[in-house]
Amino acid sequence: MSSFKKRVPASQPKPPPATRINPHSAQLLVSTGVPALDDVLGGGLPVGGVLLIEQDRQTGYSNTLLSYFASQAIAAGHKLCIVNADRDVNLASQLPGWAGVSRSAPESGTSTGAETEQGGAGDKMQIAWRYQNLPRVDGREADTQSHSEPSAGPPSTAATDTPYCENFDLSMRIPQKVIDRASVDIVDGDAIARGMSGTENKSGDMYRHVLEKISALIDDGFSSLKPLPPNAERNILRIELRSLGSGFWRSSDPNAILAFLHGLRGLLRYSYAACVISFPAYLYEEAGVRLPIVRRIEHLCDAVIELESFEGSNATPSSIVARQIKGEAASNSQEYHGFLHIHKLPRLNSLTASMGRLSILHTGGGSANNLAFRLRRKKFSIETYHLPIEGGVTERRVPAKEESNTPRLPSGAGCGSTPGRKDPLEF
Amino acid sequence: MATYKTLSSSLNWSTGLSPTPGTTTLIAGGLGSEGSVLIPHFLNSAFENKQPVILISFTQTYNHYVHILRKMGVNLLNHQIQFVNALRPLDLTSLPPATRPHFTLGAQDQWPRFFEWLAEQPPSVVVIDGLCSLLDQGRGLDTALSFFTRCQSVVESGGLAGARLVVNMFVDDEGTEPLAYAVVRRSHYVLSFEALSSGASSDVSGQLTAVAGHLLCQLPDSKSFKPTALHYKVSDTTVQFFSPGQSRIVL
Repeated sequence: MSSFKKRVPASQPKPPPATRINPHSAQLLVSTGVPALDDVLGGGLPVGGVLLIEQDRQTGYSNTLLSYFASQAIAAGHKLCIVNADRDVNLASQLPGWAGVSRSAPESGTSTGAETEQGGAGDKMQIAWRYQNLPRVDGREADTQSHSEPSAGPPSTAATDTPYCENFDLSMRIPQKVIDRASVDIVDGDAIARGMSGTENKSGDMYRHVLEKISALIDDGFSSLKPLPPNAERNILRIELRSLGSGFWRSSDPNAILAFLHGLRGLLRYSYAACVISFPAYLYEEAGVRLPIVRRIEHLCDAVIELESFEGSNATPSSIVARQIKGEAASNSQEYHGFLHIHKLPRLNSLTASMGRLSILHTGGGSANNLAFRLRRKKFSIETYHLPIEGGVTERRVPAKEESNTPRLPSGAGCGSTPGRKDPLEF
Repeated sequence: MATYKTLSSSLNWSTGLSPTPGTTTLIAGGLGSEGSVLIPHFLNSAFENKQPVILISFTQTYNHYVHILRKMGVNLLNHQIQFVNALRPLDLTSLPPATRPHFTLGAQDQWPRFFEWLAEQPPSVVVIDGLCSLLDQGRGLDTALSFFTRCQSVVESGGLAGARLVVNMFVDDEGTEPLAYAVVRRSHYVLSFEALSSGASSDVSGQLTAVAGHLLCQLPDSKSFKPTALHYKVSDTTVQFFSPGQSRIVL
């Protein structure tokens, strides 16, 4: 390890916790919670940007991505705002936890990342030390390594102690007391809709109400236009909009979603906030063809990805139920669960997306269409798609029955040994 | 570096700008092939010709353009540029002077004040980025067209001194097509960006087609312009244009 340390002026403001700076665009990044998705996006989601996730049909993999994003907000001590219209939000049962969550989750606005490091160090398995610095898409080592890069901004306790991306485990849950300590704001879409119908049914625009709510949140300490009070640290606001554009987002104007997205972009550009939106694009189809408004919605977002699940893309609900009853889904758990399509990548402060230089999975051009995802018991991962071995793995193994029928050689029969006599080399 | 010389020579635009002052150029882009990659070219071409620039952006902040041009070797502080923030009407006086907009476009009832301010400026190259955002904001086609025609009339009034109008807009669906057709009828040149019809490629970002707008036939030197089709590759600091099949990366 080099003893060289970059000289940084003491007056330079500290970056918010669990952030890093993209060296190619000088843009502040936050993690989505999925290291492979960060990799595809060019290091993470830019602060001030909007990521649109086009939901999978009849399955819930996009909800898994949203739960990662929310868990990462709690793990990093960021403020989280969830706007929900069609599904109850129960963070304790929906968000994945991580090792040492009960004692390491930082309180909102404060950094207790040192506890995280201590908690993680005890559980860390020691393997060959020489492999620890190899680049990996998944895993915490790659994240902690990036914190020490000189280009990642000035060294600060907040940025270096809190991991950029926590290593989540889908089989775990965040304890209720940690969620209670976190700064979470849940905006209930149903309540907004009820208020609209009760008091001011004249406009009926739920989008406008939500935009006003987000504007108020940003003004409350997350605007880049307002200086911070002395001795206060910057923090990040993470906004999660679930199923934007579904029927539960009530509006009298069919194009209200466009005005909403344009207004949201204008708000986020001058703030320390990042937004992830799940969007049911399959609801905007006629005869299997997407409506033109989907292209405009994609244009108004900074990054657009689409999850296409194998189970839901060309299946009827009855076939999905039948498959689940037979248990085929469990037997195919080693295979991919769907494709990940990249429609647009963030280009803030840059002519081109930076993934070409920074990404391991996605190198631009034609490689945009060869990514797949799989959901395991503990982890959601994105990988380069490849066809399975011809003939399958199981056919290459010797079946158990044939193995039992083959005549077994007497004990001790081997190369160079005589059957019936004990091999002198046997021990 | 910010001026795309192959593009200029293919279009027979020796200065990088359209040869006749007072003309209007429409840049039409799509989702995977955004026309905003041409904006640095027009900005720097104007700077090289000692022309002032007014950049009206409905889609990005001033900081976005400052960063892109800085990577291309152009410092906007050293040039005459006025930035109009049309993304969202906010009080931006707290921003540092280097990235602070010179004017903020407010609600529609405040537009007359903006056009008065625009008319007071010296003859400039006016660049509008994201005209179709007016439709996204919920304004009608008439409103978007009236904004365009008012800007065009200001440019044409200063045409003898070298003013030009460049409009970049997203044209990819039925919602923005009526506006695009109307602007094409009021334009002299149309530069259309589209994705490759043969599919994605890591060496070619897309195709640019330059055709004449409806007003070009009224110009005396209209025959000097020839429709052109070029492929291009976007990198971090420049855009390389080349004839189809002539990419330096491939060859």
